[in-house]
Amino acid sequence: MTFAATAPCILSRVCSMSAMAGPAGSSTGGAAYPGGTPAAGAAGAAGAAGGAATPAGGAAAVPATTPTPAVAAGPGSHGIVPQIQNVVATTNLGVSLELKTIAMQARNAEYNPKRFAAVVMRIREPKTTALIFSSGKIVVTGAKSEDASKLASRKYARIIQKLGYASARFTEFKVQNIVASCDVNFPVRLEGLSHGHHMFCSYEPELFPGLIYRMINPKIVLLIFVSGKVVLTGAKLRQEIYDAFNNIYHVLLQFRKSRPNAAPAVTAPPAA
Amino acid sequence: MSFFQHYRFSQVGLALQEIIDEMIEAETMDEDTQNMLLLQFDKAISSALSTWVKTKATLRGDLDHYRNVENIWTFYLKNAVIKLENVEHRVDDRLRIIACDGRTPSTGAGAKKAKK
Repeated sequence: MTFAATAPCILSRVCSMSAMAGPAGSSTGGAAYPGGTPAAGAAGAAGAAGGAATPAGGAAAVPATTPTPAVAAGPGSHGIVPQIQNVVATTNLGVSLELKTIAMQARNAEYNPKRFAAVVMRIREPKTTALIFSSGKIVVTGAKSEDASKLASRKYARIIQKLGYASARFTEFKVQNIVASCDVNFPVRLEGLSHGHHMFCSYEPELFPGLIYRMINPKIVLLIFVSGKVVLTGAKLRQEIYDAFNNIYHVLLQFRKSRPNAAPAVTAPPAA
Repeated sequence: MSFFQHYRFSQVGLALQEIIDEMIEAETMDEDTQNMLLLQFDKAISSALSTWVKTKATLRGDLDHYRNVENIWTFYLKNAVIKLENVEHRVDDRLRIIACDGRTPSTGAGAKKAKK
């Protein structure tokens, strides 16, 4: 969480002070919304934008009353940081491999050429799965961060090297996809959202309960559920996830479903 | 119709092999008969284990690592305990389990345990 908090600070902040100063400037805002850590990071950004010493009372009302979604509100204004759940990356070892011998020598390997033309190998730390192809290309999935993905890829390359491919080199490492998820902590009117943003949305509740939102910039696909849970995918960079969530958060506020017994902190009357 | 030959290395299979060797030594059996007999054994033990054996065995242990090559699974277990009709057997060394798909070549489920 802490590492995530620092990255969003570099976002340019063009939203109005009233919209962002609240949670960013006060620790109580961080308490009202899960993910208190980003508030600390955002405080610095808010200070740079012109000093933020808004009382906590105003902070509580901010998310409910944000007037117009500003173009790039910082993550501090809602205090929610999407958590990365999966990173998929590819590597090229630059040598062709004899898969059957690899499968017979390596531990935790699966190889069934009738079903799939790659060795499936797993390691415990970082807990990941690799698909190893005879071309020498490796796909590593399941890592929880880019660094973990890179470390895991190196470990798989090392395993292959140890199995007699001394010329195998760790090259062309590239993150291909990042998946993240988070919770906005209020229910969403998916029907209204799909009408209001029909050019981005595909919502077929009979096929899938979530709304599929294809954001153009950044080019991210989001799955939005009635519960307020959001899944973001299609990113090559962590920042794209954060940007996409900041964009969608302000959209989701507009399509917030009124709930009779919502948490008082969230539904507090707007400060006069 | 071919069968897995791994039961030849079980206690029953080894005993059979011993007798066959003796008979070949005494020249009361030839090579062809031996091969026929062993193929018949592969088939018989497979069906016998699936139809006649009702003993339930439970197996517990920590998976050290595994391997699957062409649908033959190998599991290496640490701290393994085999329970056969309330008789516990602790395996001090690593327990190796070789398991193959019982449906494809034969009728019975084929699974063989071999200590290493």
